[in-house]
Amino acid sequence: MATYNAFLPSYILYSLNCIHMSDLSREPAPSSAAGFPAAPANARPASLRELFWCFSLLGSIGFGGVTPWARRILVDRKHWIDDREFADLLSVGQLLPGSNVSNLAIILGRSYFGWRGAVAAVCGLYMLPLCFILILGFAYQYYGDLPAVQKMLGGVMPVAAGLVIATGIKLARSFPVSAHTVGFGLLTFVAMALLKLTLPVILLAVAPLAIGAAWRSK
Amino acid sequence: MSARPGTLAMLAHFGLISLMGVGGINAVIPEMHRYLVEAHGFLGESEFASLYALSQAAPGPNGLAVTLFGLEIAGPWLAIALTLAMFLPSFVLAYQAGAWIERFAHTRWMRAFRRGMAPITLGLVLSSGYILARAGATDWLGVGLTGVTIVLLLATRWNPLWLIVAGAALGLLK
Repeated sequence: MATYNAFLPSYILYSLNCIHMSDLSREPAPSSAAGFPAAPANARPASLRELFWCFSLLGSIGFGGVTPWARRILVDRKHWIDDREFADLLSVGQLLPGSNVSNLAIILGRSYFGWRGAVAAVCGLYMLPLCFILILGFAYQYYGDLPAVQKMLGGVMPVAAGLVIATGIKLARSFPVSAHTVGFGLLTFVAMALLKLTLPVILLAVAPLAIGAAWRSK
Repeated sequence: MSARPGTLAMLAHFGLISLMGVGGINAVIPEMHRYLVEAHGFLGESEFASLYALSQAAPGPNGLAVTLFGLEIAGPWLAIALTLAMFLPSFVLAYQAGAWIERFAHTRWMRAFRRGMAPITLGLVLSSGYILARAGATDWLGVGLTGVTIVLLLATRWNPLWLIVAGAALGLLK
């Protein structure tokens, strides 16, 4: 806890320095008379340090979804990539396992500084969340049995479940309604949630069929 | 409940899960639940859901619930080992394959992969929601909170953090 407290103030100072909070709450105002952003289109991080701090800022503000913040910081504020590159990187991130923002961090970091860039970006992204989660975890071990804590978590649990279900519904709404989506979605749900088959088995059985069907339909 | 696997077997299993999480942490929550709760009883039903709920209070990308699971099962070392097992394989894959996939992202077979995997991810995310909702639905307040959260998240652009805070407050008042 002491390390965390000592670490936080300089961190906040840096964050304020790195990005004006107002930039995060509105669309960026064009800063030159011609309506173009001030930074050059091909801006890139000057150093590993800048890359690390930029992604650590991202890791520290994104509550319930980092993606919108990632766009604002990387595209609007830093101009390291444009909207199209951001969308491309994100869709590649979605093809890979794991969080798409951490995949984006790795690919982008690598493109600037090789393996050191990938390590700097991903360490930046997870540094603060990991500190946070460890503190929460230790607190839970000490105070988790208190009735008040149990009651609070009892209220948060259903909300967290609702967040996941809403994420699923948003995801579903982003696809066209088709036999493919409904059929394979339902099959996966039944196999995982109701039959409790193991994920490797489900993927080996369902993924080739689903990908094959998608291949044939186009 | 069968004999509990050792630490190495558990780490290996999480390494495998790491490579299957197309769609992020919520796609693999059901498998973690199956492994840690149903098959081997490392965690209780409501303990699992509580720790997941707790992980929502951390900023940044989702996925650190696994750190809390490790901490609760066997302390800080397992927390760190399990976190590495869960993240490193997918990081290495992204590093090795990211640029390659980017080059081929618009080819027909990559599009087929994406469109084929999409409903599977959807099924897995909804499985996560179902498993967590079942654990939270111990009374009508739980059921109601899940329902209200879904409606508010779909109908408004409120920050989910406020809903979590409201859930904690309502739980406390109950």
